[in-house]
Amino acid sequence: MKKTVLGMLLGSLIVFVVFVFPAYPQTEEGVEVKDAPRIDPESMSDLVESLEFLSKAGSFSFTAEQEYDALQGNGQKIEFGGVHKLAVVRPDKVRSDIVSRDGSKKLFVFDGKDIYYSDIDDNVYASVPRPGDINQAIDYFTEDLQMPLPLGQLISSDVSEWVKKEIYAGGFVDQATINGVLCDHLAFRTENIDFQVWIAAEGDPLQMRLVIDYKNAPGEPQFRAMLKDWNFKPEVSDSLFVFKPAENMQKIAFAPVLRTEIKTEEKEGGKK
Amino acid sequence: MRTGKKFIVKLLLFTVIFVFLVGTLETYARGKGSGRGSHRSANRNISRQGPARTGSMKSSDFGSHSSRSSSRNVQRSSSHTGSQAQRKQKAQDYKAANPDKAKDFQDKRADNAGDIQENRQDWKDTNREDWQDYGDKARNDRQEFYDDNEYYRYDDDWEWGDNVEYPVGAMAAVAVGTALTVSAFNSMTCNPTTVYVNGVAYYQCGSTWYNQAYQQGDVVYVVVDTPPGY
Repeated sequence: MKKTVLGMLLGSLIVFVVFVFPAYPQTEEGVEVKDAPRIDPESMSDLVESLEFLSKAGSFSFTAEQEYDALQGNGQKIEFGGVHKLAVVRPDKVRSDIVSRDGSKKLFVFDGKDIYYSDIDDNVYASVPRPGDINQAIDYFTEDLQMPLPLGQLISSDVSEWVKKEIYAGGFVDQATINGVLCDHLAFRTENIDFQVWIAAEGDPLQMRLVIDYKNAPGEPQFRAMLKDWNFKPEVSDSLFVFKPAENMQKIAFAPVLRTEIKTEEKEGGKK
Repeated sequence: MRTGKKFIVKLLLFTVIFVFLVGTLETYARGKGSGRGSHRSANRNISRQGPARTGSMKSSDFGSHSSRSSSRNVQRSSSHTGSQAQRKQKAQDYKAANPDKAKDFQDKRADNAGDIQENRQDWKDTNREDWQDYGDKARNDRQEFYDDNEYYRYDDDWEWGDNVEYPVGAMAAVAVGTALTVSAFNSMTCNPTTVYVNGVAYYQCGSTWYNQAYQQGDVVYVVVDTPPGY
């Protein structure tokens, strides 16, 4: 009898350890176990739907109240921010106006042929030829020229492919009201960033808030943005995407372009 | 009846004077007080840079660091690397902005080296303990300074000792392509002259020429070759 009970206990234990226990998602001090189910398919589907909704929109505009942390040498994070207005006409026109909290104004314009960037207060601007579509212009501006264009990725039409490739974990957090709109609060993880997004639960799947954690950077700074005033029938004239430098505005270069020119000149000088 | 009118006139006069005085006092308090309402210029020592400024998700836009797995060490290491890069940039800023000082320090260093050679034996025998004491004291002083001045050392990894380090490192001529922040450029010991060549502004300081350019969203001064004709 005793042997039978012991045998049953042992058998149950083996079945539990081999089949049941591994099926449960486990954490050890907050570290996710690799084999656990990591991406909630419905949440991922909601995110992709939201991004594809934007990439299929022919023209739209919105405003972002954005802020970010800048880590100081003493370890303290200081917040900066401003109001960012974006207007997009696919496939090849973007205008971005940023007014920082200190009152300084920056302008980015892409007209399908050239990229313009200007500091209104410093009375300077730079331009570079970049014929192509919005995706190519944003990639060139942020990667090759190493210039910041917050939320630039949001308006790229290839961002949904990027999230499918990069996200390794994520899911639904809760429902929350952002600027009076009931939203699904989703959280996702990639190798280099964690991010949270609040997507309108009813009607068009609009993003109402975005938070990005740069978890591998010193101090783990955040970028935060409240997105509002979405308009998918904006009154945008062609003149909105024409950059006219103000009188006496000084044209300057983008540093990477300038350095490339210097290297080229040095090479050509060396050949002579 | 007349007394009543007089009383009303006095009351009105009193009210007007009272309101005027209160208004004046408030205006004075705003201007004189904690600075609220008055224009204060931004603290340029506070960095506005960092990956979060890009608001980007792609690591290629903000420069990713290695995996978070051994987060403590990785963070410390990357932070240290960042500090080194910042220090290097500051050293370049300093030597570009102060070529004369850099030369002075170079000469002084050479003199000091000669002195040190002559007195090396004395140093070994008599001053080792003194230097040890000095080191301890300096370290304590620096810590106390930081404790007292937490809000005055925002700028990256700036430390008292770094003021000495820059000129020592400022031996070579400033490399073409080196970038100076606007504040570093404005604090140069020379008064830069501006010339326009083919519509491009060149700024000359001594034998060094600069162009303005955008770097990571900010205007900087980049060291360039001498423009044609100069």
